[in-house]
Amino acid sequence: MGEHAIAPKAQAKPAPEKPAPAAPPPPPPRAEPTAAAPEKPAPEKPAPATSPAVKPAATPSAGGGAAAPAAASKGPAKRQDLRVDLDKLDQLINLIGEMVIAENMLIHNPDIAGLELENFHKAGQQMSKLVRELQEIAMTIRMIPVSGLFRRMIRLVHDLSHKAGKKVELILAGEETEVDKTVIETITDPLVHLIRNSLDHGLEPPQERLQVGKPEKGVVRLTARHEEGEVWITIEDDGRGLNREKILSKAISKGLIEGDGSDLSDKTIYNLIFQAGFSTADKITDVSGRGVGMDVVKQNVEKIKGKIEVTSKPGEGSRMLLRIPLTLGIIDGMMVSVGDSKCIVPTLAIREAFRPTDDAITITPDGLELARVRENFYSVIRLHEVLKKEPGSYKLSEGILILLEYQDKGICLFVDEILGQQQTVIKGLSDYIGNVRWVSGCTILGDGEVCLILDVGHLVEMFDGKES
Amino acid sequence: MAESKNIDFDKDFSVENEDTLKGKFLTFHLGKEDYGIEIRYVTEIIGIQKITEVPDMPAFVKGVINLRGKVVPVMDVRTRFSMEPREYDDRTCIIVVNIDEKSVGLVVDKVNEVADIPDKQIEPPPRTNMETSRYIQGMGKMGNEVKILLDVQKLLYTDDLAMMEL
Repeated sequence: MGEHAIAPKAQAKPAPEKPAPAAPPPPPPRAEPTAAAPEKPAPEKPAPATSPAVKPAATPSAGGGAAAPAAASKGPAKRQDLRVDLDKLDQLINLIGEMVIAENMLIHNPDIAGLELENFHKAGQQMSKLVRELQEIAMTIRMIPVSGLFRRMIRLVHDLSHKAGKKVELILAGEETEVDKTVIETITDPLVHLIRNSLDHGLEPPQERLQVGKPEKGVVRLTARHEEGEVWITIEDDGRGLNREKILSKAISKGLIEGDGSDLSDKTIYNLIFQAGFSTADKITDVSGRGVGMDVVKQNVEKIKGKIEVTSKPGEGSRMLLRIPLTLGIIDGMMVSVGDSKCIVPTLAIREAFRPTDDAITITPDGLELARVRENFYSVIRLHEVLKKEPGSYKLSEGILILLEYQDKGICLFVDEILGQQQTVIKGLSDYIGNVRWVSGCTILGDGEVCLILDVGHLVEMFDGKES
Repeated sequence: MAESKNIDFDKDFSVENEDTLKGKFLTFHLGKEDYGIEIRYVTEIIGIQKITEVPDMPAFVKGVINLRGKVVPVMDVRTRFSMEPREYDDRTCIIVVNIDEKSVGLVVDKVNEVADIPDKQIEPPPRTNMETSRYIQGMGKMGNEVKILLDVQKLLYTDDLAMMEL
């Protein structure tokens, strides 16, 4: 299959918009059935007969800064777009966010609490419904498909494969997936980096691939999809995979881990590549191997509250999964109380909540409390200690334990009470305060009070670190 | 929310003219002394309201308040100057100042007035090694009274906060 590779194109370009300048477009050979796109495969220009099979279909748009908007303006069927100043849009979205709060303040106004106002309540309900709809729309306004971003990668892969003398097939899927614009901006660089890594470190040169019985042409697959209320972007390659031994020896020589590391899980080891200054590349190319990068990738992804996961099989390739929240503006939260203060816990992180019985709690000799949930033990974090507050009760059996999960690690958070679930509009804490541990932001409640949103990832990780 | 207490400086000084604001200081009470800050930093004064505490902050950052949908951090100036803390009462005010587009609330015992203190009535700050004198911009004389004029920029951003952020 010498011609080209980018198989599925979700949004078929209207043919007249882009007449193929070169040869007549043959239907793309579907080498990759899994990279399914429900839409018809777009007729594509064949790549110039270069060795890398990347089809530079997006060359005109990939070059200029106009790439993203251009991509956003294409859609299935008839889609009409209007270019709007982003500031104006943000203002509108902020305003709607504030309206949600104001509406709450109005409906739950203490002045009318307890009064029988049938007509008012009817009108209020109507208003709530409208406001909710408005908010939902507002949240989708900023969403743009990832196709523009993916298209830039086509060009990148094309150039890199040339440079590295490797044959690469780039397969895109799920280009129509929509993500917040800020997310797109933030993950562009990490994505570029990950793809470079796949090409440079992951995929072997053609001869080596043939020797180990793989097709000469390497495959890099870039997919986006919605899953678990997040957007998952995966970068997979069928290269040599991460080298556990190499990472391990490097980590030991850098003093990152103690002992020989033989007891560490693959996952722990692979996560070492996100440490600053970590590179196992034997030779430094002008593309990669400089040891800066993966830590920056991680930082960038975490900036938008995303996560990154690595899986790899030696000889079969590696897979990077970016898990990114759908929107940055709003989360589903569970409001909990400790003493006289309230906090929001993101619902996504909550596995379950229960009132523990005394015999479900074990206290280790060094005072660590463990809660048994079926077969597993989780350490207990007391929220009142984190917030330095007076709790309603110090006894675990008189409060609620919330089992929180973050990247396969779990903790039980001890709170007084669960007050209810609600959609929360996230506001940043002021720049003046800067970053606060445990807290990812705050929101304004119906009664005008400011309520902190707990940073579950931080809680889990901090505690995990303490433990080991 | 004691809305009635709000003074809208935007209205009073609808044109933010450096010249007209120069030499004007908002004076407030803190313990036994009178203090003043340059009026051009002040955006508004509000009554004390519920402050949501934020964990892991220096003691003088009391937390955050909701100022018409904006989340504004609040600093207790008493704690900042290592003075005895005092129960907030209905005279306690939050002066909202704005520096570099960032709003911060300052909790003070009582707000007095806006005073004209021309440059020639301002003495340089006393030369001491005292911690708090770093925040002093000068000593303003008004008749028999002396107002301690604070440098808002330094009050908000001094080393110890920078260290906190590390």
